[in-house]
Amino acid sequence: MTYVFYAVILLLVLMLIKESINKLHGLIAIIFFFILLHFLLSMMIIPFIEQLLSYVHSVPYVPQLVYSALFYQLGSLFHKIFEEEEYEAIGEMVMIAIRIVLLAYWTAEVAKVLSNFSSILQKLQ
Amino acid sequence: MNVINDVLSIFTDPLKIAGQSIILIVTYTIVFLIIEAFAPKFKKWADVLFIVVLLLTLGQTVMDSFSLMGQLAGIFSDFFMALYPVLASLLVILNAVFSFVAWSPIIFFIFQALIFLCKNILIPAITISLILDFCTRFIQEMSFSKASDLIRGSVMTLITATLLAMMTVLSFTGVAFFTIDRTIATPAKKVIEQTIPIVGSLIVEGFSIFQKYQSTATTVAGFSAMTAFWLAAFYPAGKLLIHAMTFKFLAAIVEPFTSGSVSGLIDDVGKSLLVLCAVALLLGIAFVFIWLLLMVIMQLGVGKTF
Repeated sequence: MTYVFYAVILLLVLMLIKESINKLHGLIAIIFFFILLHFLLSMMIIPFIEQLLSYVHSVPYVPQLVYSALFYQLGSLFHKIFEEEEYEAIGEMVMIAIRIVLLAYWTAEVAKVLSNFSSILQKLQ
Repeated sequence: MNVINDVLSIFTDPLKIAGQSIILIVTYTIVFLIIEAFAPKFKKWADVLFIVVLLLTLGQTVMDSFSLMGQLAGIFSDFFMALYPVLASLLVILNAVFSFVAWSPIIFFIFQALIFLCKNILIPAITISLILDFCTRFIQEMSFSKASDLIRGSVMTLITATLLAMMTVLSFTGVAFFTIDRTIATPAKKVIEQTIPIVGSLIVEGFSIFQKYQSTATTVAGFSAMTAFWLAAFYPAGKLLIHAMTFKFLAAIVEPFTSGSVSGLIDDVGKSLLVLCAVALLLGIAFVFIWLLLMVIMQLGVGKTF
């Protein structure tokens, strides 16, 4: 709940800034975004992920999965911020970079199994 | 105690793997549901990732099954090769009782052809159908499901045809004192229409055939030895059956919570493993046949008549 109060207070401050010093508004909005993101990560997301992973710590691939979901979500947040400042192309590039990173990671994981599979295929020949 | 544990682990290991993978998949389903709740944008990726994770965790089981089949075919081929000279020389010695002509080498040919078929056609065909299934689910725009169904269906048809040929030749040449059973002929017809239930009925019918002249062989080899042969012959098939049933069960569990492609993939893998199980069963039947033939010939050599 603390987080919601923080967000509401920052929203009020932002609206005030928009009225009074419109030129700096965009800059301050981005700064506030990162402050809120920091609070969100440190207060809620990371503890939640740790709690979740402590239940399933022996199950393979769950940490990777959860962190790739988090990664993707952060990427789409950055995408939104770039879109807000009307830099759609850069936002799109961020998304592409994140997709490539995720794909590269998971392809490397699958490659191990696929190489085993192809070795079995060779044995059968 | 260690020996007992080792023997027990042979039987408990497949069950352990089954239980383990069921628990793993249930956990993954829950994790994916949580992820979807908190990161809805990730859903499109989550579906693909689910398939990838399934591949990573269950791929090992599937590959174990395939390598088990490969080893099995190799062992049986070596074993048959070693046994042919023994059988042939016994046949020559016992010429008075059984005419050598009746024991035409076609029996050996049939067994060898069976091994060849398993090694070079059936197992690779099932592998291909598995890959096609995976492609169907992974690239959703393209569907290869008809092709993989066709491959599976033809493999099953080949298996039944081989089984029928084996039975026919054995009874035709007068080798076996049992005529071709109607029990094996009826399910053979059913196979072509329905692929899956046949494995169950094959097991049951196979048992009923062997029962008929098992007693004569048991007097030679003793009960424990016969039990050992049975276990050796049908253990791989049983292991594969457990694996296949695990996949079927998993598909049933996962279906309500995930997209159709995930549960469909698991279900298809289960189907392929069932067909693989039928191949193992076929090899097992051939194995038991060879042993029973050997024992019957030995009994004839001792001078017992039927």
